[in-house]
Amino acid sequence: MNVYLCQDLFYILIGFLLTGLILGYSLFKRPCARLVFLTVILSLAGITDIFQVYGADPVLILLADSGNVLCALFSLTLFLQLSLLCRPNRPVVWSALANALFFLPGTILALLYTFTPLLIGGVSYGALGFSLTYQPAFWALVVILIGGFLVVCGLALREIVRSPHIKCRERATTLLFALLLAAYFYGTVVILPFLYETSKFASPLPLVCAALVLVYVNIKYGYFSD
Amino acid sequence: MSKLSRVLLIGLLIGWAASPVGAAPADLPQITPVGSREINFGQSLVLTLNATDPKGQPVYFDAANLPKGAILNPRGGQFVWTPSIYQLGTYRVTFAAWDRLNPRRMANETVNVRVVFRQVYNTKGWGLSTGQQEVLYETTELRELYPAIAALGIDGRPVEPTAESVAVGDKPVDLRIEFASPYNIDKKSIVIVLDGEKQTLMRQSDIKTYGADGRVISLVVECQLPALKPGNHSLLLKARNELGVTQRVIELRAGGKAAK
Repeated sequence: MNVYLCQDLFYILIGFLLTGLILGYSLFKRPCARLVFLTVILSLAGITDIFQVYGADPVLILLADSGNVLCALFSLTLFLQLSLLCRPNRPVVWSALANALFFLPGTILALLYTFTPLLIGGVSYGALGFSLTYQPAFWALVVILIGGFLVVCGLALREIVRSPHIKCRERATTLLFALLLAAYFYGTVVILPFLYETSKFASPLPLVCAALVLVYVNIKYGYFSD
Repeated sequence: MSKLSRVLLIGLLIGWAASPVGAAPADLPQITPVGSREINFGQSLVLTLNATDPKGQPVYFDAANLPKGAILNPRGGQFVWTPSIYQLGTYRVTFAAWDRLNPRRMANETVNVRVVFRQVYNTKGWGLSTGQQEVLYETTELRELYPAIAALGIDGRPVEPTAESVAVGDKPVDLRIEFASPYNIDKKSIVIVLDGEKQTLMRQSDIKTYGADGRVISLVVECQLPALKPGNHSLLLKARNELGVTQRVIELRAGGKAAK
């Protein structure tokens, strides 16, 4: 069996275990719906990776790529929400409507990416793998992803530098670490696919590490509970 | 009829009855036709041969010209083959089905299997569908996957990549070579040799890669050759990948002005 396939299967297993762990924690100890959702999203990378590398069908390849984009957008939204949670002095009212509005831009972009040829023009493939052809509108998605990343980084750094509460600083540091890991993976897979080689050796390892850190910190200190 | 003639006639009749040629075709096991197949290298060709015996006897399978790495299950008729890149080409595999009553009584089915190197492009459609499919590249010849000189420029002038002789001036010669391969180019394998002397001042640019493995499918090499003395000089250009080596020798005619 191919070593990359083994890696992917291993990370999928770890992802499921982490999801189960944080889901159990959220249900029976302290609710942390956002972290559960984020863990699920981060754990999906192994599955999309398998489809991308071993998908012999162009529809499967495009679907896996769309899955990565959806996960990147949703994880960024969740990181943004979690970074706002870090601010105890400015509690955000998380009504259903507020949540829906947070996820709306990511959902629209992911739908456009998946179901229209506006961002991806096509896919060339063969026994050597595949290569996507990007449309100019794709770069708008890149700008949004980079912008979102910078906003979350800014919020986290602000907490680290300015917050008088040590707990808040630790929360922000953990979040920033996980965000950088996620950005490394999605950056090389979604934004700059020609750099995929630089992350291929690790497959979705960065995302599994990010999920592991967040789950551990939340179970031990409850930093990301609602 | 003499005794000898009778013996010969009986012998001939027995021989005719026992020979497979004389057997009625309906008595032979029947193989369901498979037809021709075409696969990309690296993909698996999986066939399940189907054969029935008129007498209801179990049918066994055999094959002639099985390609290297192919497996045939003699009882179930499953044929599995994953050709490597080195197995591009067309193969004629003859499958035979026979019952154990008489191994000589067999039915044959010849299958043509074409192993290709193919890159296709699918436009993305609306919804989850893909649009038109276009074959970008297809070959069954391994040699066509070796690196090739796609474009050549000497002193800023484009030169036919197949040119055998090129006139150059008496100043240092600027060389620009574009290598291309649909499979891969080993960047470190590129060698430029002038009159037996390896040139080291090379610059690689415009590197285009393909796929998750980052295979180099095109790159440009630039090099400045020293000023040449009048006369003929030999320029060797060499590049390789995992499949083979390509080398070209170009004669540089120095002396006087470069031909326009």
